[in-house]
Amino acid sequence: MVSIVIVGNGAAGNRAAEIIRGYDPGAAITMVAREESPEYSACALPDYLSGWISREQLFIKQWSDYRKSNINIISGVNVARIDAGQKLLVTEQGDISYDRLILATGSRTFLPPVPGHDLPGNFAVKTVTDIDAIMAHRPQRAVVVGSGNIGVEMAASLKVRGCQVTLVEMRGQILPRIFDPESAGRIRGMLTTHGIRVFTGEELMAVSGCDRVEKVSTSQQVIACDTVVWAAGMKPEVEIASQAGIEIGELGAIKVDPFLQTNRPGIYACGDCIEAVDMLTGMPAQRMLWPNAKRQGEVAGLNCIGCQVAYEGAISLVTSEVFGVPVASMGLTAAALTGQPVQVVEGECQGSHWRLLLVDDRIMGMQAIGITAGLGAVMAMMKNRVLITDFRKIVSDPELAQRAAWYLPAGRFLNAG
Amino acid sequence: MNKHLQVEIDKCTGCGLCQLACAVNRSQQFNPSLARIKIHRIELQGLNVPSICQQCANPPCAAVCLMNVIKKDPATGITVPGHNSCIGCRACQLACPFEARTYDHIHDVMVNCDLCWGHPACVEICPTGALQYCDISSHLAAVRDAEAVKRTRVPDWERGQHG
Amino acid sequence: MKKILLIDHHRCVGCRNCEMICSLTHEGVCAPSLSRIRVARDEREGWNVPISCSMCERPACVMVCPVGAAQRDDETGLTLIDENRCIGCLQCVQACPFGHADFNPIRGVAFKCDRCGGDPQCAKFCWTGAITYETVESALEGRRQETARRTAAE
Repeated sequence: MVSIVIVGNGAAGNRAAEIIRGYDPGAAITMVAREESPEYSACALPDYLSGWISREQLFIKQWSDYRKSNINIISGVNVARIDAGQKLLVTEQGDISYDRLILATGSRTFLPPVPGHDLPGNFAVKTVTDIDAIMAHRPQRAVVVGSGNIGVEMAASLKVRGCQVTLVEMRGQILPRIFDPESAGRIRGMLTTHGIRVFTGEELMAVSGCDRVEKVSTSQQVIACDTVVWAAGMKPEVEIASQAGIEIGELGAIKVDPFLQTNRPGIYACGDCIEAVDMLTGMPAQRMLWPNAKRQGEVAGLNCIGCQVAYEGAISLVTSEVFGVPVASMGLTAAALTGQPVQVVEGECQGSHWRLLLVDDRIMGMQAIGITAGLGAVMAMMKNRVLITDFRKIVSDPELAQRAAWYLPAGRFLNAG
Repeated sequence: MNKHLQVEIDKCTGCGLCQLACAVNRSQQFNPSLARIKIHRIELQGLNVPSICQQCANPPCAAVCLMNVIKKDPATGITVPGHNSCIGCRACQLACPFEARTYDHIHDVMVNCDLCWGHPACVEICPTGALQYCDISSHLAAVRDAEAVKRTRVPDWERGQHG
Repeated sequence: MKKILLIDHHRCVGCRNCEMICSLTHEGVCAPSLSRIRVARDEREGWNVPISCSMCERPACVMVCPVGAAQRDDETGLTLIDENRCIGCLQCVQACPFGHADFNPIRGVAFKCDRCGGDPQCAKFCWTGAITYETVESALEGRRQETARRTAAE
């Protein structure tokens, strides 16, 4: 009987466990987790903070679900090190031997080394306990540092809770990794009309206060506050991997082959802790997103039980709701496509706005505000690298259009430009 | 066993009755925007293209679901939207190539066609037969038989030669 | 040289041996419904026509696959379905004009002929010679000789 040990109880780890159990009812699966809770959706944490969903609804699994699928879970345990030679996982509660190991250690919030970042009132946004702590703190005036999708969602959630919210971003626009300045400007407008103060191009220099957070100083000004929420990026958790001699890539995450195996045979890695290739560019990239983590868990799990499945690459897919308006981004931004001849197709209809980025007649990215219907077709075309000329051929030929009907909804975006 | 909601696009007149029947049957509202079936209209070609959940065996919507609520019903193979914990994030809408996921703005959840659990209201009401609920393998057999006729049809000149 | 699965329906007796060996080779069971070659019937004229993949140059199944699971390898000329990527959405099944691509409801994936990796078992086990696997050139040569014989006989 093969014994598989999974480190991590997040999206990737759980998906790996599920897929292995689905294929091999006899495998011994052990999960080792640091957190003391069953699997929950990290993406829904801002919704929990805003009160949109209850704490119970966050949880995807109950403890009984692990028992039902015969997965042995050891929670609340830190892994000290991996002994790759002996195939042993050394934890503070004894050693666990494995035949195959899957590392799904995930990531942690990046806290820049500014003075005062350890004062009470500083919060990370990663786990359910972080959100519990924010709620127990009862924030009145909050500064959210970093305006990625987590930062924006947290700012909106805090606003819904009745806080006075300030969003501080180091770069010149909000949502710099997933939106172009034009679309980001629109979202910024939506935030400011709902009373969130947004400052871009300002670096956070210090957090200060007597025994708790009282104010923050940016490169431009001083903002009085009682809470600082850090959403300035995530760092992959690679300490135990690098100590075990597992190769770390240039981006600081675990380097894996197309089968998500590390340089140590029998040790696989998936989720936020790996450096995956981007599906569109083929270059190493970190796309720390829930759907990518789940797919990687699936691929790592399958390869670990002997199926040869190559990972097709990660892709950015972000949706969120800003005060009731859906915003979505997929693929790359113009900034990520610098140096290539980017053709922009923009359109507007009944308050919604979209922006498509084409390179060499192929869709490489799309951002949409206020509309999500029909984006699935664009996403599929982007993943399949369909040429726009081929697309036009298909939709203009009734015979082809009937066979490949799913292409048609994309027409409403492409025909606008 | 292997039943499927088949769309014959050239028969669709775009009357929209399927949308109304769907919305009434599944959401108790006369509101086509709540229908799980949508009709995409291409005015230029006069095409009306109904789009609906294809009941994928391994659905991409479930693969991206941030709350892991979209499940396949093990007994019927129907993709179940799982309303209880849906947060309405619409990630599934981006992942579904078929524009088959509908935002239910009354309950703020995403929904999809569940084939009315075996008795699709849209098929019952479709006046032209553009929507059919049929067995996929018998449909394929019919396609192949039609192809067989095509391939065996002896041209008249050859028939003459054989006498 | 591109080889084709040549089907001469004049020789097919409808024994469905090809369906049996195909499903046995690919799925490990004798189940015609899981076969990559199916014998269709023209009931009126009494013909049996084995139908398999035509390995089209511009395949409909590849065009409609929303996840890129169906891909044509230009080098070998074979169109294959990657089961690991297939989501079982039945688009290829509905798009194939010949009714070839089919769906395995148990495993939840679409399947189609892969020419057994270069040695089609259906051709090997067809005892009437209705199914052969040969190059385009030899197939045409065979047709030409047949026509010549027929013309000479008249």
